[in-house]
Amino acid sequence: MSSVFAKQRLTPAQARTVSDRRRADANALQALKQNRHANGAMYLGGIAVELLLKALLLESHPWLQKNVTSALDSRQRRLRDVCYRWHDLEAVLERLPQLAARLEAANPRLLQGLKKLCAEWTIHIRYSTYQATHAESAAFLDRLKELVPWLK
Amino acid sequence: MAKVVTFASRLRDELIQGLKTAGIDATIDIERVQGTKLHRVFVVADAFAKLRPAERQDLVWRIADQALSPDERLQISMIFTVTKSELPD
Repeated sequence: MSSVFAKQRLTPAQARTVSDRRRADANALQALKQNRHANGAMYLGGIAVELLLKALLLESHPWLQKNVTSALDSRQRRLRDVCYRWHDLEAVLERLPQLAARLEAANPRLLQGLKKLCAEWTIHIRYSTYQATHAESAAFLDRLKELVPWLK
Repeated sequence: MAKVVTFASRLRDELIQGLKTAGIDATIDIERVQGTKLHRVFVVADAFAKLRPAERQDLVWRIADQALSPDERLQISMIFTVTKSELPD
């Protein structure tokens, strides 16, 4: 397989750039205004959120950006898995208490909106037979648009 | 001896009662998120099948909002709203 799209570790800045690109992809699908593209728009929108949350995680735990070869304790191994192996938005958000406090202080609806979005979205959208509607993906992307400035 | 009402048991009771008012019989499972002060809430109701994911979330969070203080709301990691058939194996 071509190495052009090989898996690589991103810096926080790169993660934010890729997030912008995936959100643009999601918006392009959404602009087609067809139910059959709603899952795709939501999937890509969720990936954009995942990248922004993981950028914050990388900044909170700079050692994650290095190739750590020394033995990790169980908590560090879990954090590494949350960052690099899983696509679990809840698990990432749980490890960003400063973000939660900042959103709650600014406007409790922001934090609630992020939690709702994280609860609704799963990486398994890509395999799901459930067909979301254009209205659902529109609501999802609207919430995302409101949240993005707070996640950067 | 006075009964100790924990955050989790109070939230569970409020959600069950609030959802019942909306005509939804639900079972609530609340677990502590390991290594944090947070709670993860699972709300399981077959009646959710008629609602979109965003509608389920709005309904349950509205009940939680009324029942909890701002500080208490911060103790909720996530609320999952699923039907029995949507639960992972």
